[in-house]
Amino acid sequence: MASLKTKSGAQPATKKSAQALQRRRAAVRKEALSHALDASRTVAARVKALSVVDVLEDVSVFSDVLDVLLDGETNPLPLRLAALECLQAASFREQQFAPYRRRYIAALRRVCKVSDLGLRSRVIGILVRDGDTRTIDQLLDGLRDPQRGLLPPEKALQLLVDSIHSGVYEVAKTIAATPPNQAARREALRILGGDTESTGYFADLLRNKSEPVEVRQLAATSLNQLAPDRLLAAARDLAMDEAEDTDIRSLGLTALANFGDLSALRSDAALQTSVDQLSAAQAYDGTHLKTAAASFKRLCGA
Amino acid sequence: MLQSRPWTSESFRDVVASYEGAPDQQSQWVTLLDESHDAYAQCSSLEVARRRGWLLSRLAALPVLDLALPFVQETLQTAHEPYLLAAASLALTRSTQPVSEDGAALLTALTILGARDDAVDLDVWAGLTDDEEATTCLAVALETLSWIAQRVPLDPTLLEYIGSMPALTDAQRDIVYQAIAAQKLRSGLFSDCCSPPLVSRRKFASSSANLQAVRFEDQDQTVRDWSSCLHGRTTVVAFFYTRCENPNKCSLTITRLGHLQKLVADADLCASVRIVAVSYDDSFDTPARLSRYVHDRGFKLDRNNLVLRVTQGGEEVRRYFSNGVNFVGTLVNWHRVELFVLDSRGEVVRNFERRAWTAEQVMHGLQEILAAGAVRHRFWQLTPGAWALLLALLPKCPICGATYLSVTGLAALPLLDDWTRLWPVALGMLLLNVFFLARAARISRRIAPVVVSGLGAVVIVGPGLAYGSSVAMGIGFALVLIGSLLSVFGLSARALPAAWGKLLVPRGH
Amino acid sequence: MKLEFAINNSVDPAARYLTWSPSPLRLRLLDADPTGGPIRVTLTESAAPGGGSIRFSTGPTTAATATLAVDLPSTGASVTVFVRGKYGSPSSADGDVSVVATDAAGQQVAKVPVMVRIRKNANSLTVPERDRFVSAFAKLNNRGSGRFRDFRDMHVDGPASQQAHGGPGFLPWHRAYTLDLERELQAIDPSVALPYWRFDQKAPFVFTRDFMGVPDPLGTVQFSPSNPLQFWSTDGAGGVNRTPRGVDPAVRASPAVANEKATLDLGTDYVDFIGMEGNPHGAAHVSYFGGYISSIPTAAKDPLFFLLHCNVDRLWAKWQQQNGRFDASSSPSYMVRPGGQRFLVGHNLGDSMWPWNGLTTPPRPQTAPGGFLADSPCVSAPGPSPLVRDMLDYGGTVNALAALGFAYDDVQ
Repeated sequence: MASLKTKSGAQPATKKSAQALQRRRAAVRKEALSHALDASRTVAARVKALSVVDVLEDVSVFSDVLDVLLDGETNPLPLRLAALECLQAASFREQQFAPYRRRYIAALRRVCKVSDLGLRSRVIGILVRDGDTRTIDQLLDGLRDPQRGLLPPEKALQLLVDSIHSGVYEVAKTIAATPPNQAARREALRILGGDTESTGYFADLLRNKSEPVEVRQLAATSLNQLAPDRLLAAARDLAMDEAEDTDIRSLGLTALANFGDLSALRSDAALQTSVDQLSAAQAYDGTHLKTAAASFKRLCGA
Repeated sequence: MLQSRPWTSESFRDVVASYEGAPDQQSQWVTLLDESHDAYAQCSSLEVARRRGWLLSRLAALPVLDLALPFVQETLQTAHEPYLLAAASLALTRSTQPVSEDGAALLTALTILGARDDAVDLDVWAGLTDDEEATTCLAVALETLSWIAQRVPLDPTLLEYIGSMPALTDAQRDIVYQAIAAQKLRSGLFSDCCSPPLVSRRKFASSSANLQAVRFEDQDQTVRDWSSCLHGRTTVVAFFYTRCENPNKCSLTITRLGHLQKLVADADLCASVRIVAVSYDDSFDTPARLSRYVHDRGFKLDRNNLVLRVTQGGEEVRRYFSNGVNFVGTLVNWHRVELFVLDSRGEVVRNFERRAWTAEQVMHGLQEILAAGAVRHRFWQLTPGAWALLLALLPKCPICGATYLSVTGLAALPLLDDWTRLWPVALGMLLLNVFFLARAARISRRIAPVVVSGLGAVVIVGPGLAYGSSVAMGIGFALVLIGSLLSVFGLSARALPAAWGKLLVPRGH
Repeated sequence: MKLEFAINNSVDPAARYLTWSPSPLRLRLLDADPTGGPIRVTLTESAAPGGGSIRFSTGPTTAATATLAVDLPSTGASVTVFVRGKYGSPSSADGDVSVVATDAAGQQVAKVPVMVRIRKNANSLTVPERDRFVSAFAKLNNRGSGRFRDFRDMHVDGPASQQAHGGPGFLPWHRAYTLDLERELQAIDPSVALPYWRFDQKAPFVFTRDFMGVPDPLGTVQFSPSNPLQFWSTDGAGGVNRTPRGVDPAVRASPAVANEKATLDLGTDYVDFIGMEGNPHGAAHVSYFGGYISSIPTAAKDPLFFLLHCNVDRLWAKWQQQNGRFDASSSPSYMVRPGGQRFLVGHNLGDSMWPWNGLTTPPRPQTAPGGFLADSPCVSAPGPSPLVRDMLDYGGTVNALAALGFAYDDVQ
């Protein structure tokens, strides 16, 4: 540290111009804030102005922007969303944001019951990713009793996918068994992808040709995590099954190529022959299966 | 107070309330703090945090709190939930004699709260409040800092850092500066003579027959039994799981196990010490996942450094170690920090619980255990040998002498390191023993000794060596000994010269 | 005639990767005749169509040329010259350009394939480049149980985040972080360089099901069945959450995100330029998508995060190049607090960086996941436990030995 010049001793002329530049920038930001708060301007202009504002410039700027987010009476929705985006971007500067964090979180908790689903969903997402226990509990309550749900079940499930210690597996099992819609089923299955008690269920799902490709793809991802050996065994069968959906065959080849035992794959003559045939077959040109076969040959070709 | 169904929040609060005013109120509440208590079974980790926070905040209302202090200190050291940290901070002020470890734990909690503060009302369930004027978790902890700074020495560098945390208001920063000033003022006046021991002295169950059914899978996917993992040498056993979201628990445990491993190597004790990390989450933690996790935290795996998951008998393992762990479904919902040191017979001789251990502390414990064990070990290793030699030197027939030597050799085997890997030697000695007995039977024309000893040999080789049953080993050894003694007492003095002759002259001559 | 080539001070083929910075190329005769005079060889390139291009020089700072004559002593002693990628002509495949040595008669006497391995705009990658990258990334994650887990654990909230965000160490820390990840990817497939997402331009190639995936309206990212990222999983949860926020980056850039020019114009002093942590960095995190990438604790769960940060690093590199800010001893290159005050430990020029330093005493976080920074067969810097200052001279401009072994396609 001793060998470093301090800023005060470095290049005075440059420093002067830099200070002037900073003053000009500060003036621009101040003006932008006043434009953003000026109700007589168009919403688009106010939103654009907000993108220039530095909410961490001082506490009054932070408070002004926070008020825009909180005040749904006088501020249009796009402006509130822009204010949220502004605050959220600032939250990445964690050290500088620390003095404001508690007020920010408190404000988000107040906003999470607003009528607009888009804003509500964003705010709840931020809180859940931040590990806010009361929000996580509210989402779980809503899944158990839809009357109390803050969000549609599929969105609530999606946000809870990482809260694995919250008891979400039990809730997800119930929803997967009697889903209110296909998206909710998919998200419930995605959660169960970490539940070791569901391994057998996913193994069955993967081989079930009556299930949609998306669901079988999800089952493969889950199985790959829970029981990799079972996925790889199934993947070989799927890849070589000519009666199978081409996307599922692609999935099988991709799993083998990227996670399989290289030496075993290279010495698997039947599989290699099958892949060679796939690569040569014009019927599959332009399909994912052709791409998957090419990747397999690149990574595991004999 | 055990309940078969999972407790609800209400039932938990009712139980807590039911002890209020009771003469043993504090000890009853402390019992509820045990991580493996039924009160936490099958509820989410969020709910566990709420229950423990509630309990700690109730405990803080008691005038004295010494029984609960290990729990308070562990919470401050390892928790990351602001509510729990606030409740523990408040509870700490009820300590009659705080120690420097309490201060260090509080500073750790303050560094966490500096990054994650929240409003709190410790009089309500879960501490929830929407009152923006309410106190905060950080403020509660800073009040405790003011209190403890008058009583114990604190790390000045860390205090300086806490004073510089951007989350602090000016008033809060002043509290830290006052704490720094108090430390300077009282420097040299602190008495810190009575830190409670890190090591817990609770009683553990002895190795039982049920443990023989336990099966582990190691990093190489090799199935191992209890004794091959935990017998034969001093063994350090730590518990963890890879899905643990609290970096101050499992991730830190494995990181410190890596440090311990280096200390053991530096002390040239690798041949005497085995280090084992066992997952709580045996259905999710595959060998590949476990290997990667421990490798990335600096714990190197080999024949003596193992990472295991339990594939059979998980309940037995948890019962044996009295693990402080609970589950929601098959997933861990809460656990304490726990590490055990086992002697060569697999008995727990030391355990480090709750207060986060350091590699140096465990190493110190290991050296004590090994030093004490070495004295015993030398004694016991010498004894059977000396006995055998003594008996062999007494005037008797050579077949009897050989029988004694083979039996005592068998008896001495379990006293050797890694004796289970010496089964070919055991088998050889058994065959030798039966061979000599058969020779003696031909002379004495009494078949009973060789039958009894042969039966003993079958028991030792079968359930004893093949299944690792120490009970079978004991029974087998007793039978071999009885057979040998029967044989000796059956040979008359007149037969001695003949016996010498038969031994020295090959058959057919 | 038998020649030995040692590139980047190694005869190991794993070291034959070049950037725009000069790499030492050591040659010697293996079948030298001590009685004879020196043997002249001429070095030139042999490039595959569309492959990389290389240049030679006698010294690290001398002008680079397409051919170079070298006199090799008959004693078998080594001669060191330098080879580098020709700016503007990076490789697209391993070994798509070779160093060729010819004798006085014009006969080829040796040929060594190399790669000009450069970080490129993800939107301009060839299909094979893209496929190699996603395959290496999927393997690094390995169903959530691979080495990638450490990168997740490094970028979390609380004390760990404060080591990386909100101070002058933001850019150096993330440079080390992306470098560590890139080296781990290269350990799987050495032909891979981390691509960058230019978040101030539309990126139709990046936001496809075959590359970074396409989120459905709910925000669950969809991958094609031939994309190995379909098996992405972190912390026991499968898939990626990336909720669209109205501006599709495949179609247009968000007006809320500062563009490259505005970023580079933030000022010529680091104290001004570091303002980019808010915009474009923070803005890029939150303007296009909600979901994982929009919050610090979860951002690194999304592979797109690393492409975003590669671009943040590229912008710093470009700013450094424009303003000559590679010298750590020159104050505009970094920040020093007046009056001898210090930033949070980990943010000062001479501080070591967590977690690669293994320090776990507060204010450092209590654990240091991942161990040391991955090493490289091509360069020795920054070592296993880098300091903040080690991240500045990434191309070896001030000190050739400080080169970190990466470069960008549009930063010379």
